[in-house]
Amino acid sequence: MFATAADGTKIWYDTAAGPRPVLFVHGFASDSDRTWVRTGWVRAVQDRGHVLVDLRGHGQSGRPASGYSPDGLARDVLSVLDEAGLSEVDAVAYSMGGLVGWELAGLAPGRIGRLALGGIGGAPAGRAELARVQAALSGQGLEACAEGIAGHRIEGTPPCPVLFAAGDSDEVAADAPEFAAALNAPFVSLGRRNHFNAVSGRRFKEAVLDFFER
Amino acid sequence: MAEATFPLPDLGEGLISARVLEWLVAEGDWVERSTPLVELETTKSAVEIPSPQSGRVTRLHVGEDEELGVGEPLVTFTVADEQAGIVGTVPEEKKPARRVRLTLPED
Repeated sequence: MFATAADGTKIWYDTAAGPRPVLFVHGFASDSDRTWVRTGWVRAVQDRGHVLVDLRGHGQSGRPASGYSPDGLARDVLSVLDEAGLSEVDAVAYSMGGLVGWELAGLAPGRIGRLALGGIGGAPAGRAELARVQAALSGQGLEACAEGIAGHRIEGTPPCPVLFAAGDSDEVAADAPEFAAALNAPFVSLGRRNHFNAVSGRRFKEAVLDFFER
Repeated sequence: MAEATFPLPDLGEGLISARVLEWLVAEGDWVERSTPLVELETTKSAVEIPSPQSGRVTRLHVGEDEELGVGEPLVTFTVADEQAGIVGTVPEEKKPARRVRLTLPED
């Protein structure tokens, strides 16, 4: 299914009804299938329902030349929540998706109940780092997105209850434990995982679902 | 009861092997079909493989951090007899033993 963003871009999404749907927001150079379906996340939340969304420039969504700031991407996701008729969800976001989730929670108070952020800390998204992630995931045609995201970081006070999680070998989110502590937010270590193999981990799923149930 | 062995499935993207990140079951466990079985890592990503069937896990053929080729044994289950052979084996294409004529001979 597709929602239509304010500039006309088609935003792909998929949803399964349930008592408390989980919104999934993937990271830079990835998509919903790779980040959330193949890793078993959709299976893990089947009792709650879900909303998957491919961010613009990624997966099955449109690839316009602009609109890739965290605010722009968050508004795309908001258009999906509106289209799907979901007033409130809990959200899991990974890496760059965390910037989007944070922005979205601030943009639409009450729409995001709880927000779990994986593979992201407080450091600004750097161009070299984005290039490295893109190379590792064989991403293509992402220049406009890299341009829109570079330099942005998670800022301000948490817009809703947040949880941070990262693998101990995650260089992209190396400062996540300290950053979470500074925000007085819980942090969960995903063990000896790196940025690219932490998403599927059982510990990540259990920690997030436990956080949502609180 | 019978044993059924499940090989490493084709994970797509032209990948010929994967590394076991973490087993989500242990030998001796009873698992239901579709429950998470193992986490595998390929060069590009990590994936979670659900159990292809219900049964008791009798053998994990590879340890964590070990590499496995597509088609090599991953896990063996003990299953009810009528389920044996369903898992992990692609039915062989056999030539039909005899031809069946769909039209009457004209002679």
